[in-house]
Amino acid sequence: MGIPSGLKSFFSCFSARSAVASESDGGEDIISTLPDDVLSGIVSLLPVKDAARTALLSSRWRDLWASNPLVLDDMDLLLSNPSHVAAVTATVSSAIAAHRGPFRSVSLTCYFAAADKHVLRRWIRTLAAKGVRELVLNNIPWAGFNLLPGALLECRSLQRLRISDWRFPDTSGAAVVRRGESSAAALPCLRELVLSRCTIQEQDLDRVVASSPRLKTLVFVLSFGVPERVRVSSRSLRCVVFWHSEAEELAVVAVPLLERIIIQMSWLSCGIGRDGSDRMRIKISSASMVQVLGYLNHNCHELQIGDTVIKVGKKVAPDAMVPSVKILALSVQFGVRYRSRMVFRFLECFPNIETLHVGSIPDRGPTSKNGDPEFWNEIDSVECVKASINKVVIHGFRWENCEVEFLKSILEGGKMLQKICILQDENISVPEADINGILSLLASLNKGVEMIILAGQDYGIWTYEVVSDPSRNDPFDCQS
Amino acid sequence: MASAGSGDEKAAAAAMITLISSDNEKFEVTEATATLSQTIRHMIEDGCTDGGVPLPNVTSKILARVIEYCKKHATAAAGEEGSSSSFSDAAFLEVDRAFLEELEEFDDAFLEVDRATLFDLILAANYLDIKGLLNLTCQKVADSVKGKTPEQIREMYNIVNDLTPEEEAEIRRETQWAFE
Repeated sequence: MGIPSGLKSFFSCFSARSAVASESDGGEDIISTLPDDVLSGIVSLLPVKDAARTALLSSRWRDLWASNPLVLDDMDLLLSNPSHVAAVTATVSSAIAAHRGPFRSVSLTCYFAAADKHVLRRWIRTLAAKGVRELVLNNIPWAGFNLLPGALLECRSLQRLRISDWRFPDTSGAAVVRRGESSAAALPCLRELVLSRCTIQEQDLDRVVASSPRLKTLVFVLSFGVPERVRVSSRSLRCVVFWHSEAEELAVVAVPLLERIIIQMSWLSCGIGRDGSDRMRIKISSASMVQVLGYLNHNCHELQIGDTVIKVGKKVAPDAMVPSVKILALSVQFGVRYRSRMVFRFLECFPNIETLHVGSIPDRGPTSKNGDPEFWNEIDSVECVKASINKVVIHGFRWENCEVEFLKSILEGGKMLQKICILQDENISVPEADINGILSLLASLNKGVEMIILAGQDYGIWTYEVVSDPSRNDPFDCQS
Repeated sequence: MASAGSGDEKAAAAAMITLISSDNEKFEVTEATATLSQTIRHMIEDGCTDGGVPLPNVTSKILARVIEYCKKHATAAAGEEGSSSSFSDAAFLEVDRAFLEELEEFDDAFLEVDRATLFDLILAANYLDIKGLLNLTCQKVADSVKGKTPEQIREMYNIVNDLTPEEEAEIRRETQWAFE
């Protein structure tokens, strides 16, 4: 049944309409009573073909798709048409030609052969011309070609760029500036750059960073030694992430605003078969403003502060300390004494740590289980343990003697300590009576400290997006 | 019904806000629940919530549903914000994960409403500026038109086609690629 058309305008005040809604909405075009921005929002939630087709619904809908920033993810097209790659390519070409821009978010997966690489080049030219803001470019590693078109560096509107499985183009001829000449930035809006399993030459990375004066976040994902050295100079960068990635060297050359250096490696791959010759060198300056650093791993990393390489056998001098670091994360193989000595040195480098995260690496060698517990009872001789650390989080705790000894020493010596959080290794089971015994011993050492124990860790929610999110004060604290 | 917030265990500790629907029903909710609405958050910041917040665009029936949504989602948000208080962040996240699943179930069940209610919820979420609720309800509408032809969508939502045959032919030419 219909509702008198005179009531139509009245319906925009929907509280009035609700009074008759119970009668059923039969016959009434209620979707068109939604405000423009809501309708546009609904259109932008649709896959691109569905979205474009809404232009045919009525004059109200005609311009909604084309006049609002484009959201395009070709995965929607691929999934609905997996056997016709050519058709998907044609659709992407048509969609970006038909939409007038700007492009809010475009995600493209390269699924065609080298012979068609001009298509990708043309797409990227179009994206550049129509103002793409967020761009995700995924390659399929076994596809026909892997070199990204240099036109990428002409996308001046880019704010976020994520590239997977591509070789970065040679930038020497591109319209990017050389370090120091900031007047003609090629990517003036770029805030986040994520390179996942990419190949990029050192000089190209330098040029891209130098031509992105607003770059805040730089992330490497599953990147192994390409480039060999990452030497960063940037006046805007706040966060550098090596996510399951390594390089020969990460050097923070001149990054005055850098707040976070996050390095995540599988603890297992770090703990085994390393003789120290292939350690990743991490260089920072004592004048740095870095507040969050980790996971440093004594097996995989060599730390250099200013000109001083931190060595196991030498106490850290004041000029090789970084006072700005408040949150430090360390991976520690508790049972292996000669390696663990480095933990003392690492802690000495950062006299003002407030929160210490420790990832306990399982021992697989003959020294496993009990190691040399006495070794750890001097950890409270380190200045930051005595005078600044107020919270300790142990990840992957297995109730082994060395781990317990470490906690005992911190509990006894930590004057500022308020909280210890024990996150148990989910693969072990320890009799409850043993745990209770250890707990009551620990609790007796320092009555003012709150202790929390959690079982069954799942690191699935700990992602590079999470650790680089500036709204999270402690990026290591999201590992439940 | 009129005191929807009274069962909230945090009520005693938290500041309470009174929301008044278009049909003059009063709902008392915690500030945490109310501030999921950016509109209300701004009113609180401007200090104009004494004596209740009148919401002349929202009926009591819809406001009750909106509050139900906000209460549920405010609890989730509290897990993130309250981390500096008595629990560790990790403890909260442990709770969080189970809660996220529960939230998803809640959202699914929440969307089991007739079309008129769904559109009222969209309008209320838009007016009150509750991003999560707006997204959730708009996604439901988007899902309902996905894969359908313009004719099917028009029929489903009673959309009157006011395009002239010439206009329609022109748009069809422009969007031909989207029909292939």
